[in-house]
Amino acid sequence: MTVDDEAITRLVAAAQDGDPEAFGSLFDHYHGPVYRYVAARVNRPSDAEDLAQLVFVKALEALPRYQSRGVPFGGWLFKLARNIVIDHFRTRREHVPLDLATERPAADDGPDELAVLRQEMDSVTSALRRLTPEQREAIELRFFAGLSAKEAAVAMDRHEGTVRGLQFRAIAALRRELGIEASTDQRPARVSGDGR
Amino acid sequence: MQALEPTAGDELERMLARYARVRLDPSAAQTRRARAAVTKEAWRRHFVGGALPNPSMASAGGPTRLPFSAWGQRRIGVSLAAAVLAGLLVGSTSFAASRAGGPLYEARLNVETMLLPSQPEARLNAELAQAQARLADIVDAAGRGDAGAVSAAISAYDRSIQELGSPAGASSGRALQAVEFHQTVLEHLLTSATGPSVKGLENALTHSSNVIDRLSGGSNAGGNGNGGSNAGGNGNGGSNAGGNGSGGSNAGGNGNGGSNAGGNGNGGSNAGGNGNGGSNAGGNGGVTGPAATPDPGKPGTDKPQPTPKGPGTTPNPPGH
Repeated sequence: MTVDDEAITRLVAAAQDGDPEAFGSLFDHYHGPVYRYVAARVNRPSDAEDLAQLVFVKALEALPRYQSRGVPFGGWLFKLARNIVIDHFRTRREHVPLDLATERPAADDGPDELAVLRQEMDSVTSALRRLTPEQREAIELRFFAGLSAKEAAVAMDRHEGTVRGLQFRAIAALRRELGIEASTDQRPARVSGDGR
Repeated sequence: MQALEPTAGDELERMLARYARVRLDPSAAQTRRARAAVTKEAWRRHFVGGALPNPSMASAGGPTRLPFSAWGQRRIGVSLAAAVLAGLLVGSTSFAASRAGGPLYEARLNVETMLLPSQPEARLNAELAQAQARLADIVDAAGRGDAGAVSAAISAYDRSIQELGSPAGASSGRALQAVEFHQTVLEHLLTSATGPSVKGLENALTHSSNVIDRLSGGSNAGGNGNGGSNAGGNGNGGSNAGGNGSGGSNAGGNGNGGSNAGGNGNGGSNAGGNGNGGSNAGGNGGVTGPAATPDPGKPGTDKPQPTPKGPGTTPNPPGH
């Protein structure tokens, strides 16, 4: 679903006025990204489900206090998600390693494809583990949640430039770990607006 | 402002995208469950009213600066207040006349109905909004203890849900979810209703159950699998699960049809799930088997029954 920044602003305003349908539309737009971000952090699908749901319930509570001045809604929402994940880590000790997380391969994958896929997943998992926690979070927000650097900066409570730097370094480290050569693959940085 | 977004290159981006899809994406059932719970909470806040104050009001002023702090401002303020009061007086007179039980209520409803859009999706949205507004009328009238207004609002609500079209696909799910929530509210009102309101609310519940049956049929055709999802406690059950736990209104709805009870295995979850079969049994003249057995003390899902708060309070849907 593609919703532009203006539509998000309208939906947020309507949700702040108490329109449940508008909040439902915001949920539809952001649930996937929020879930992916949370799932990447907590690893256990049942925790991810509960926490992602909690993010939206908390967002519903906090929405009246949200003001859009310079703060993209996506960044605000993910900051909420980040805090909820941090609280979760504070209160829960046991965590399932990344490779025990549920896999959802495509329905038409055969055994060979599945084996290759699993190997690739393991490589990515291992490469992600080698990143610093901040680099990993910058990657999760950028590539799993689809946030812009500006939104990721709001979520991480960092300067935008710092987040960009983290992302550049994380990408370089991932490419090294995964054996992807820069000369054949790397494209120039992409120009983006304020939004996602 | 435009900025350079770091890119990872085609191959790495593809790998990360695959990783996200395979390891991190939520399942459809997870999304449905979460949506049902979150939108239910949003509707609850909507009905509670004022739970989501306008942020511009909440944040206005910033530091503690008193309004009309200067004499000139005060004079303007007094004039404005007088104008607003006069407006409110006129407005509230016409508002009182057009709210449930008032002489202009039916006229207002007729106008609203005439203004319904013709495009199916927009019409469904408007019809759902209308049904919700009528439900709010019932809650408001019950809160005022005005039996005549309750009766007028119930009758208007009945009409509004009967007029709901036969939406398909996602629209059907949305309508189903809305009417299921209505049942939660009606059930809640029923716990504290007295006199003729009881009969009216029971009728409204029966009618909404029929509408749920009709809409559930639509959802199942779309492949949601009422039985399966309910048995698992999720899915189309996502909304049903919420509704079921919410005081058994769905149990009524599901068991109600008889066809559902037998056909989809809903009866199974209903039997354990909700004692609402009791009201169904009455409403439908004998749904057989466990679905008709009231079991109010054992919801069967992990969602609690709504807490009765008395007639003047707003409904408190389950699970929150």
